[in-house]
Amino acid sequence: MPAIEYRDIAATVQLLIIIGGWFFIARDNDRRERRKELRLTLNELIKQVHNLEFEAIAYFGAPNDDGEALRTANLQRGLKRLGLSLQRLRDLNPDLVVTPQLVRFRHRMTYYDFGAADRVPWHVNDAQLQEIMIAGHELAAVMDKWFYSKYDR
Amino acid sequence: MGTTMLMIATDFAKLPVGRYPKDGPFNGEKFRLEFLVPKLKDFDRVVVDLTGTLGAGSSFLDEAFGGLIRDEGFTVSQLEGKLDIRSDDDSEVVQIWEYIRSARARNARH
Repeated sequence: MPAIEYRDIAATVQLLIIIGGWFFIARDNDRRERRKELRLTLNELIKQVHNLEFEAIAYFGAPNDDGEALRTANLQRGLKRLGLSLQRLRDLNPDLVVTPQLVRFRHRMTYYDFGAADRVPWHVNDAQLQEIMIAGHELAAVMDKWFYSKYDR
Repeated sequence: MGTTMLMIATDFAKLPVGRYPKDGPFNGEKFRLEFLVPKLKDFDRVVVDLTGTLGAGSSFLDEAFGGLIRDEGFTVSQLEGKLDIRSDDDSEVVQIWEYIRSARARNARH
C-alpha cells in the first residue's frame, strides 16, 4: 500500500510540474506575442508621425498654389487618423500618456498660417520648421519610452 | 435655454479649415460667429462634438474657440460652465481647452 501511495504522489507531482511548466511557457509566449504586436503597431504609428512631419515641412516650405487645398486636407486627415489610432491604443493601455506630445505635434503642424489664403513659404532654416521636427521627435520618443518601460524591465 | 448640440461634421463641415473667410468657406471665424456664439447666447449649455470630422487644424480651432475669449468677451470660467466639448479623439478636446485658456481678451464685443 505505501508503495502505491508513493507512486500516486509522484505521478501527481509530475503532472503538476508539467502543467506549471506549460502555464509558464504559454504565459511567456503570450507576453512575447503581445510585445511583438505592440512593437509593430508603434513602429507603424511612428512611421505615420514622421511621414506627417515631412508632409508638413513640404507644405510650409512650398508656395500656396492649386494643390494647397488637397495638401491641407491630406495633412488634416493624416493627423486625425494618427489621433484616432493613438486613442485606440490609449483605450487599451491606459498607462500610455501621449496626449501632451500629440497636442503639441498637431499644434505645431497646423497652427501659424495653416490653411491661410495668403500663406507664404517658410525658409528652410525657419525655426517653425524645426519646431515641427522637434514635436514629431518628442511624440515618437514618448511612444518608444513607454514601450521600453513596459516590456524591457 | 437648456442644452443644445452642435455636431461639427454634420452641422458645419467635415473638413473645417482656416481662420478667416478669405481662407475658405468653413473657417474658424464663421463657425464662431454663425454657430458657436448664437448657441452660447441662447442656451445654458452647448455640447460641441468633433466626432466624425476629418480633423480640424489648429488655426481653425484657435480662431473658433480661442476667439470666444479674444473677440467675443467670454471668460474662461463662463465657457467652462457652458461648453461641453467632445470628440472621438480626446486630444482634440484637450487642445481646444488649451486654446481657450491661453487666449487673452482683445476687444470684448458683449
